[in-house]
Amino acid sequence: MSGEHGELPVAARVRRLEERMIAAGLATDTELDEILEQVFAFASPVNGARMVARAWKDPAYRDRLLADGNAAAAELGLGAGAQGYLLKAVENTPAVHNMIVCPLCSCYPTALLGPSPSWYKSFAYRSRAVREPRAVLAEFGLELPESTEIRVWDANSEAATWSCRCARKAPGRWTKLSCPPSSPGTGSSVPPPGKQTVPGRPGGQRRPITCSSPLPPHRKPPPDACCPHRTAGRDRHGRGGPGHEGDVERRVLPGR
Amino acid sequence: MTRFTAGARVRARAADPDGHTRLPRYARGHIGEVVEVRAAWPLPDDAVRGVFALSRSMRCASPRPRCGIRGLHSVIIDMWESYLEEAP
Amino acid sequence: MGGQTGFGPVPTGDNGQFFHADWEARVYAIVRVLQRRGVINAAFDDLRDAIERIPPAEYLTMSYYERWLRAAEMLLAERGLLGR
Repeated sequence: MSGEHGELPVAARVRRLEERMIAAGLATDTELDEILEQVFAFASPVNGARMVARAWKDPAYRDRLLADGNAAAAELGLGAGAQGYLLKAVENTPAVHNMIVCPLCSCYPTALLGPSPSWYKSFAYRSRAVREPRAVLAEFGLELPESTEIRVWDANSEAATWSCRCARKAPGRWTKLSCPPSSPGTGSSVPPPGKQTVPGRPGGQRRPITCSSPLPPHRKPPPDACCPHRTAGRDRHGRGGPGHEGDVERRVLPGR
Repeated sequence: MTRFTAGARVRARAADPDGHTRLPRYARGHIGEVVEVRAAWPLPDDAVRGVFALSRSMRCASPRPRCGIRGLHSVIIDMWESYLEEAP
Repeated sequence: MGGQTGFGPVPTGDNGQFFHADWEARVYAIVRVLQRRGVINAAFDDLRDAIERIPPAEYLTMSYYERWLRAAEMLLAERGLLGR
């Protein structure tokens, strides 16, 4: 993140707003900092990766995940992350590939999947995903056969949809969880967030709260959580990014 | 009381309402099929005006995959029942 | 915005950070505090409504968190919550 708080006009504007809110009794320095500490500590793609990894290992859990995403999250102690919306998981298959978009405002299940990527919030993705999904996927390096139907899910804040492929692989192919799952948007690999610190408060001391990502020590997943090894975002067939290995699971609606 | 069930043929209202709505502009006036009916939520259009009104959330799909450039694609939209009317 | 044309290629590069500048993080915290105070409801409907009321010409020049900031300013001003 940028260092100096006051370098940009917008940064100064934010600082003024904070000061006015604090003066009006709407907020405190401590509360503002604590909010960010919680975000950095608990919102991570590792949470979603645990669910996907369990689905790969445990067919019964996979079925439960497909049936009820919220309950499946709660099973792994992640119910709080899926609170306030209906979590639906759908599955990518060779016949159907799923994409998620929120054209209106970029809704995203941050607590379970970490920060939404910049591309997900971009005007280009929001506008083009529903109109020309195949071209959008190609820009991520994913060329799907014409025979593969692409289903674009226009999600809203009350319903988050995950997309992934239920890859059942031999245990030997799996490695320890060392990378985040793919984005639910297109399935592209999400790089681990860099170190994030709580930025300083206006007029106050900067608090060096550093949260290493994606695995803060106290959130280290159990040994059986793992994800398939990925090489530069490509699966074993050499296909790139979106929609393949490591995607979060997405449910295919009845075929039409 | 739910007006539509899964499989119902519906049309998204073509209205261009004043104020906030979560009915996507690209879907207005278009026909689709309800694929899933879910819980009722406070309708956002009313919530921002301080009016509490529940509307059932449902997923609607385009009637058939569209043949775009280089292949098929369909769109499934999270909607509110209040945005829908029966389609012939 | 869905279905509109003219926005060019998708910026596929991303470093996965929550925020790309300190001020973005502060804006996020401001919005969450406003949620706690009931200025923005739990579903963020008030925030979305305010963002949608940003004039289109300005909306299109703003980054994601600039729009959040503008919306927060609008809501606070409209409801007279910051005093003078």
